[in-house]
Amino acid sequence: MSENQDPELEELIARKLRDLPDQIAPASLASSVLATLRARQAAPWWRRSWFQWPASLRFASAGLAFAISTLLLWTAWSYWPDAAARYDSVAQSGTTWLATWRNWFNGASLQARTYLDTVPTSFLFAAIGVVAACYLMCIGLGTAFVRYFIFSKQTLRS
Amino acid sequence: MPELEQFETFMLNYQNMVFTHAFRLLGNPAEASDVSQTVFLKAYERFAELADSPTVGGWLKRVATNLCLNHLQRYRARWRLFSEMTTGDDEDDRQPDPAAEAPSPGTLGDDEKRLLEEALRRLPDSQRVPLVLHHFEDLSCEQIAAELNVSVGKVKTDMHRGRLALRRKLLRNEAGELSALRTGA
Repeated sequence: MSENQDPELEELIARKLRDLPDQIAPASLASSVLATLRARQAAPWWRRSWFQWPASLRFASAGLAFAISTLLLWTAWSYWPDAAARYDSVAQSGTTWLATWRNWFNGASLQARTYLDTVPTSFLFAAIGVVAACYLMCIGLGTAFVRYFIFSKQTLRS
Repeated sequence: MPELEQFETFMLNYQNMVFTHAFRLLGNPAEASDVSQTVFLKAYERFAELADSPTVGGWLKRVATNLCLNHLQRYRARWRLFSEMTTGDDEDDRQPDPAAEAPSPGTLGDDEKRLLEEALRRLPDSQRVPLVLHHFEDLSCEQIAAELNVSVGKVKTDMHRGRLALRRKLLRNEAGELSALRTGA
């Protein structure tokens, strides 16, 4: 039997705890809950969250939002027939800028790849291993510091 | 507001159970009262489903448990409560909150019950919480370990230490009563 197991003790404590009566809740508990609920109910519907609005108002507001957005889009397309053309020109200028950046990035990555090809693979693995070892050493030293200099002092105090 | 009246009746039926459960988990009546209030506010949002549910007691206890564990983890430095590094031998060192006087223990004025309730309240959180979850919510050690995010071994050790502390308190009380009787005789 494990040192943490004592069926007799467990049974004794279980029996004693089961016999404990309920505590009496503070008299203020029910009144404060009801006061909070009354205050919530007294708030006008438009001050509550959208999910607590009456169902009819939720449907109406969703329909209205959809109608307004559709109207705005239709108006924009009707009154500015060249909107699509303008959008294309903006996209084109953005594409030019992006293309410049992409070319620069491609050139840099090509050079990096050429340089890496000259480095032996074993050296690369060794470098990765050293970096990983340094990282683990930092974690280890940090953990040891916390355990020995912080937790040990707190354990001594308690 | 007929619904509120029904809810008030519902709350009066369950408030002692919810408050007691929260009080035993937290060991502090003011915090237990705050948690109980939140439990009933959540219950009101689902009152239509809960009103006639046969499992409403379990639901209320579960919500209370979750809120209490959140409260303990959020407001009482979690690492100190459930860390593997705590010794768990400090049940007698725990300083009771002076503002947290235990409420009257129900209608039974039995000294032993009052003593046991007080001893349970004075246990460290790491021992009291698993004991309450095991004995009052019928959770297994594995379920408690998963709930508290600690090892099963830690749960068993803490529960064992908690039980030993409770037994010590009870035995001390019995010895005190015997000596008082002898002195009186």
